[in-house]
Amino acid sequence: MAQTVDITPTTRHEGHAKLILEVDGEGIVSKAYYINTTPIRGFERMVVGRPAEFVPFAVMRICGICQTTHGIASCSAIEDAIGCEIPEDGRLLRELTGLGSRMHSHPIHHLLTLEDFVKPEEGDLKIEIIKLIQSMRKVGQLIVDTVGGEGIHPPNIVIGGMRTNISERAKAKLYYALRQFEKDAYRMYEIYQELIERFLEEVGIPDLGSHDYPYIASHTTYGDREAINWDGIVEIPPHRYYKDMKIAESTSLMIPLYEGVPAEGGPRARLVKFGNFRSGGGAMDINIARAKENLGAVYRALEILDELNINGKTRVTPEYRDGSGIGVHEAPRGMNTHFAEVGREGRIKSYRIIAASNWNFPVVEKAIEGYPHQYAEVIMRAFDM
Amino acid sequence: MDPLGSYKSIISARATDKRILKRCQDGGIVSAVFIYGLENNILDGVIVADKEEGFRPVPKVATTPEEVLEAAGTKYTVSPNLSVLKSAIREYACEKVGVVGTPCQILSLRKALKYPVGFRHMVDKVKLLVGIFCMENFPYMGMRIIVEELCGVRIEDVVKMDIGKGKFWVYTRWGEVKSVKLKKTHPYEQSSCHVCTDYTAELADISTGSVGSPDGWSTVIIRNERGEEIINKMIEEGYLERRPIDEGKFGLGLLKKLALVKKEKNMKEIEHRKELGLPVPPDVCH
Repeated sequence: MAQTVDITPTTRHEGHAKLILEVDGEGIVSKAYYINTTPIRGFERMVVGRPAEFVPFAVMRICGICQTTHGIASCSAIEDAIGCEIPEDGRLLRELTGLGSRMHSHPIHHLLTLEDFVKPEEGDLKIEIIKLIQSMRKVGQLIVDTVGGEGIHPPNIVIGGMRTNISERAKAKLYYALRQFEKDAYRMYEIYQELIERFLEEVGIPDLGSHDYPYIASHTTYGDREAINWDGIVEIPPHRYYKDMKIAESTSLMIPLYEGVPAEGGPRARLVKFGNFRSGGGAMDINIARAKENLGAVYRALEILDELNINGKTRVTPEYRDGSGIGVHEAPRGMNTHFAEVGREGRIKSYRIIAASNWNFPVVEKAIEGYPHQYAEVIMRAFDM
Repeated sequence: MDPLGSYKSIISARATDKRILKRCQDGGIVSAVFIYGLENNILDGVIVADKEEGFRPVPKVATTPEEVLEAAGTKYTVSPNLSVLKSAIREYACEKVGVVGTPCQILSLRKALKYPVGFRHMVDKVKLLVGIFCMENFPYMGMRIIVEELCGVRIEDVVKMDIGKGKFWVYTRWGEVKSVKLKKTHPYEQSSCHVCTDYTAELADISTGSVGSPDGWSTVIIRNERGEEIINKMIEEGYLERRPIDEGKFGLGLLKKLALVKKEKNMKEIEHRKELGLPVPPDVCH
C-alpha cells in the first residue's frame, strides 16, 4: 500500500530543506520531492542600482560557507561585463582563496556525512576522523585568512583582482600547512573509501542513489566560462517543473536545466568531466569523489604557490562601462554562476545567480527514487546540499 | 588624579645605534625596541607610521630593521596605524606583532584585544604595545597650514618637525630652522584630542617621549613585565644606554605636570560637553 513519508526538516546538511517521499508497499520510493525551505532573501533584487563594487561584498553574505566562491563569481561576472582583465598573480591568488574555501568546506561535509557510515561502537575511529577534519579545516581557514584577508567574507577579493599580494613569510607558512593537509587528506581518502565500501556491502545495493542525468562542471579548481554552453542553461519556475502545484508552491527554488534536463554539479561531476572518475555510479561515489578532491585541491594550491610572484601586481583599477557578463566559480558543491549587467556609472542593471546547490535539488529527487526510503537522507547528504 | 597611570619604573634612555640616532626624533626608543625585537625573534612584524611625499603619513607593516629605520621620526599628524593590523596578521602572516601608537590608538587596541569582535586570530599575536606621549594631534591639513602658513616653509622641504620649549619647530633640508609658538597652533588641533585624558599612553607596555629627559634622550615608562623584560635585555645587550631619570622640576616633575595639565584641561572640556549634552568618551584613564 502506498504511503507518504515526510522528513521535515532534513538534518546534517547545509541550508534548510525537507523531503516528501511517496513510498510503495515494499518501502521503495516511487516519487521524491526535495523542497528548499530557505526563505527568499532577494539578493538579485537588492543589488540592482547599486555600485558594482558593493556587489561582491553583498553576495558573499548569501552563504555561510561559500562566501569566497560567491565573491569570486561575482567579481568575475562584473569584470567580464566591463571587459576588465585581471593580472595573472591576482588570478592565482583568487584561485588559491577559492581552494582554501574548498579545503575547509569539504572536510566539514565529511563531518556531516560521518554518522551515516561510522558505527556507534567505533568511537576511536570517529575521534580520529574528527581530529583529521579539524586539522584540515584549520589549513583551509588559514588560506582564506591569509590570502583573502579574513576567514569569513574575505575582503581582498575585489573587482579588478585581489587587493594585495602575500608576503614571503605568508607563502612559507601556507606551504607547510599545505604539506600537512596533504597527509591528512590521504588518510581521509583511505578511511572514506573503506567506510563506503563497507556501507554498500551491508546495504546490499551497490548502485544506491544512481541517476541518469548528465554532469555539469566548468573546471576542476577554478571556473571557466568558456567550458559551458550558456544558451543551454535555463532556469524555470517550479510551477513548470513540478506537476503537483502544492509542491511547486512550497519550494523557494528556481529549477536550473542544462540542455533541457537537470544536471549534477559537484565533486563527482568535476572528476568525471576532467578526470577519469566512474560516471553513472551510485550517489555514494560522490563522497569518495569529495575526499579525492581534497587531494586535487592541495596539489593545485602547492602549484599556485610555485607559480605565484609575490612581488607581482594583483589588481588593476577597473574602468566601468556598459556591458553584461558571466562569472563562474566551481564552489565545493558545484558550479556557481553569476550573471551581471552593468549600466551607467558602474551601477548594476540586472543580476542573476544560479548558486551551486540549486543544480542538485532536482537531481537529488531523481537519485532517491527507486531505492528504499530509509536511505533517502543518506543519498541526499552525499550531494552536499 | 594619577598623572602617569600604573608603571613599574621610569628611566631616561637612548639608542646606541648611530643609524637610528641619525633619523630618530629624540632617543630613538621606538625604532630601537622594534629593531631589537625583529633582530632577536621577539617580534616578526611591526606596525609603524611611514611617510609619503609631503609628510603624509602611511601606516605600514615593517618586517625588517631597514623598513623600521625608514619610518623613524615623529609625524605630527594622524596615521591610522591600526588599519593595517589585520594585514600584518593575515597577508604578512606575522605571529608576533609590535605596534606603536598614540595613547588613543593604544587604548583602542587594548579594547580590541579585550573584546576581539571582528578580530579573529589576533589576540595572541599582538606581542608588544609601544605608546608615545601625546598632548594633541593635528589633522593633515592642519599640520600643513602650520608648516606652510605659520612657519613659511614648503612641505616638500621639511626634513623634521618637533615640539619643544613651547614651540612647534620645523627643520628644512637647507639647514634652516623655523618655529611658531604652540599657542598659535591650537586652532589647528583635532577637536577629538580635547576630550582625551591620556598623555602617556597608560595602557601600553612601554611608553616613551621626549618630555622629562635632556635633548637627545627619551623618557621611558616601563609599565609591565613584558616591557621590563625587553628594555632590560636591550640595556644588557647594549642596544640602549640608560641614565636615571631626573626627578626634579625639569625631569619627572615636568612630565607629571604636563600629564596633569592634559587631564585637567580636558576633563573641563568633557564637563563642558556634558552640559551641552554632547557625547563624551567613557570613563577611562582619569
